Amino acid sequence: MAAPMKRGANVALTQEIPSLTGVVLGVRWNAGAEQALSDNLVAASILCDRDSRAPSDEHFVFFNQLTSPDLSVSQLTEALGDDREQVEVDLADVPADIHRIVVALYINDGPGARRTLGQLRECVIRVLDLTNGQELVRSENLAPALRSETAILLGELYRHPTGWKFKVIGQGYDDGIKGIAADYGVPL
Amino acid sequence: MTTASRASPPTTGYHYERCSTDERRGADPGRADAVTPIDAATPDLAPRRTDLTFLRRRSRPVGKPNAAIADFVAGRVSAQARTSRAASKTRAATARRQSVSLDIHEPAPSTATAPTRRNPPTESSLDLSASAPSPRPSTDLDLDLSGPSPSPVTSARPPTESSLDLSAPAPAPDRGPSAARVPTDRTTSLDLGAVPLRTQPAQAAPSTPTTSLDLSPATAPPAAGRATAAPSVTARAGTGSAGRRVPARGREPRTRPGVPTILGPQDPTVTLTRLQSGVGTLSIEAAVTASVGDLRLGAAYQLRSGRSSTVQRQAGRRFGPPHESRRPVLLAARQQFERLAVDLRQIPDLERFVVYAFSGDGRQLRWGGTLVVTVFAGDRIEMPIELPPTAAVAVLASVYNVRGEIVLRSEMDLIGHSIREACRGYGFDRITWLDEVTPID
Repeated sequence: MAAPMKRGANVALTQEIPSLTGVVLGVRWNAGAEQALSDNLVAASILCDRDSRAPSDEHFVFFNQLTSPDLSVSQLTEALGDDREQVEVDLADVPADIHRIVVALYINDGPGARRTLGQLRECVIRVLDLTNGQELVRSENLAPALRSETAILLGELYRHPTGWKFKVIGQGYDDGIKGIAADYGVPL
Repeated sequence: MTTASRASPPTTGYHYERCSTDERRGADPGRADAVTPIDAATPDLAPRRTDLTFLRRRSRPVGKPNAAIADFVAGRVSAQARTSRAASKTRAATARRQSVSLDIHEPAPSTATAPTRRNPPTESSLDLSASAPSPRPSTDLDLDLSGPSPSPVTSARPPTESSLDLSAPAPAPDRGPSAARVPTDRTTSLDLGAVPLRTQPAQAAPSTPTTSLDLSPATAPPAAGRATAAPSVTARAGTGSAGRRVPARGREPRTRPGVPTILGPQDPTVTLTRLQSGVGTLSIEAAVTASVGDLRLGAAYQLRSGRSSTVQRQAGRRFGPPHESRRPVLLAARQQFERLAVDLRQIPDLERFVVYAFSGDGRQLRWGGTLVVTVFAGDRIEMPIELPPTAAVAVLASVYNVRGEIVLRSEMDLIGHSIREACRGYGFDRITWLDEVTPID
């Protein structure tokens, strides 16, 4: 197993594995005894164009919109294995105008008490081969650096002249999903 | 909801019918105006079901029909094939526990910092690392893909041409009509016979209730005819790498960003997007002045589980479901006005609810003001409350979860003299009552 990827690290997936046709982006977290926090966490994927903007609200894949319009990105209703959430990406089916797929984790701003990601003990994103479920890479634990954030960009798949690459981002947002939506042009 | 699996299911008319059944399950039969008609003969034009991942391969097979799928449709799947598939899944599960190593390009030391609130990454950050990897796979690559992968690949990811034919005939006669598969405990019944006093005709249910689902063609044509017609449809629909044709979004009334949506007798409904229906909190407030009287709000709800009850702050019933104070689906509160809040993280569990208003002190209300619904991003849906003075209970709005999209409807319906009558009038017949106000939970 490769060493965990640090924030900012990237890997050339399809260059390293030419036969790679799809990946699974697995998100796992551990909120300890904070069950309410764990229940309110939402993993989402944003399909972005060349300008890092979502073409429409339908390019935001999460529990209430499980696939992208082109059906290339799909979130499972029940993750397999130890991941809390999993997103499948058929790389060949991703439309040409989609240049990156960003995976975020945020706390849904519900009517209950406000919580932050600083209460997380573990927060990891990993990449699996879609065809056989083998883990290709995983990020370091992103939780220790979190404080008052209510959303975090975990990582992204993006097109590169050499093929599809994956990068660990680990960027937090104090204003939650609103901040992420504003940065990527997602109409909430 | 149906559990999505890594292996794409063999797609036949059966799955298409499942989709239709779910639609009818989620929609109120009397208010089906939000459901787009579906023709089973043209699955490419069917509305997108982004909540049903097993419909991802919504395309027709190209060329010769796959023999395995034809066998499956005809109910000829052999025991040997089942055994082989099971073994393949086992191997795939075993393989998932293995790992590989890749050539990871670490960031420059200066970039490995704590999370910061900044703009999304741009291409420039990618190019910095582009020079590092060699054009060929690096020598330290240790990928064990040759071992268990071939057979799991075959079983877990069926070829595209064999994965879905929505137009295929209904798989087996023993499945019976799709309506027969609707679980009886999931139906939403409107107890119209029990409707008590209704002082004002509801501008509600259409006179010709319809599910708008054309299911009959799915059972009619033979498989051979379908297979023959498939290539031409694929060629016509060919867009994108997968040759899929994405149908246009429905024409339901939608909100406009930054512009309040006003619902009234002429335009009583609006449909929220899946994001508006699934992010944050949906807030419902009765913006009224003291001249109206002691107007109080409550809601009768029905969950997907079949559980049904009310929330009503005045009666001390603040949480829905009752006693779920840690993580309620609905919360009744009061700030400047009486307020209801819906936790949209739990919207898949919520089937429908109605917002009712009544006089807290029993005196006549001089109805006025506006029922204001606010989505997470701040957009508002406003429903003016225009009713004749009375002390009756009024259902102000109904909210339905239709395929993951919230449909709001302005009702403004004076329907009874008690909470119980109002709830029964809107089909909440699964609530048992202690008295005219208090459900038994």
